[in-house]
Amino acid sequence: MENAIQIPLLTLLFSAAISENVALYYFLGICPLISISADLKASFNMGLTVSLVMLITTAANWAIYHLLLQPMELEYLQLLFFVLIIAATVQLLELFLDRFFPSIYEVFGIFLPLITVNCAILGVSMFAVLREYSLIQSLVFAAGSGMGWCLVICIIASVRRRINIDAVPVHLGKTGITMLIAAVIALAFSGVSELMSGGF
Amino acid sequence: MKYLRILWEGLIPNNPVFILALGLCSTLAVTLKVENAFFMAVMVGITTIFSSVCVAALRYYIPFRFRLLSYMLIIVTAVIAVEQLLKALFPEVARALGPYVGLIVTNCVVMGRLEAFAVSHRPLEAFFDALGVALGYAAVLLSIASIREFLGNGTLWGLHVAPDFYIPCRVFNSPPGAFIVFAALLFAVNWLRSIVRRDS
Repeated sequence: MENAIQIPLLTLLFSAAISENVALYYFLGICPLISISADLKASFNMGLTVSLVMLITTAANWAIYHLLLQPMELEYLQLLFFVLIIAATVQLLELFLDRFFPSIYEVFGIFLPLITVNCAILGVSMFAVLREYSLIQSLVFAAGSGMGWCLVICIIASVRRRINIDAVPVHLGKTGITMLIAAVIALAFSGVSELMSGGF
Repeated sequence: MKYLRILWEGLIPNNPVFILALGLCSTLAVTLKVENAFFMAVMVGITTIFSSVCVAALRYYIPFRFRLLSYMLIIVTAVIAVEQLLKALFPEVARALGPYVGLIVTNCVVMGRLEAFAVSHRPLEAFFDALGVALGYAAVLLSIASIREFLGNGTLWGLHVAPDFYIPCRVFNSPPGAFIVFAALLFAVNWLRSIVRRDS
């Protein structure tokens, strides 16, 4: 990952989505993963919302960082700007969807405020800047990360539906069993990365 | 005495990670080495204490509708300061932690304390509450990191402590290991709590 310029876009997409998944490899966005994954439909909607917001904010943050902060040597303010941009984007998206696409708003609306403090979104923006991706690479990285996060939350929700009808150890509780499910899925995903390193 | 009780509340009965399931991302992500976990815990502690005391002192001046935005700005200020300090004093640790320092902003432990406690209490009480929560968070982080570093590398804080016949188990260095150790520790804590509750 040192030399960002040479990574093919397809590799970037798949490594962001699967082998270096935001949730299972970088542990970003774990809190909603635990709390929302009880219901498959809600998980899928949340995953889509996160992907959409991630794509928009990564592009916006990339532009702010490279066009405003870097020329003015204000890199240390990146956190402040990123957080404000994410909050503003979420707010605008909420208004926009509410006004023009009420049916979509009904699906996504309740998840939007939660996303403001989702570390996956801030994390992806920061990784994109840290690794010096170009705009296209950042977008591909954000799309892959969003898809990967959506995939993981849907898998966990599906597994949890099975677990609901079985008895889990009392002391493990909902958080513990979800962590164990995540561990197994993370093992599977890291197995895929072995395959990929052979293939590409 | 009252302050000690507030401190104790945050440390064990309201432990941010195991009981309230907050701040899971950083708990999993920075626990590869005890050293990293220690610095992370210190930084989260400073941020929590600073923002709690600030919010408690300003609680009559923060408008209710904009309180989340105000919290966010206070937290971001603290995190930027801590991040710059870390970069100046311990550059290697800053490099190892990478974007996770900035991600303290979206750590729900900090925000949770502001919303649940600091906004309705006096600064001194808020200080002890934040200190207790920070210690509770640090205890979890350090125990997970010790287990992972010992099992995965046979070392603690970089020192070789494992007996010679021990073969390090690399899975604990990988992301799935973090989930497994977390689930196991959560199980142990809940089990102990149930024993204590039965006895008392």
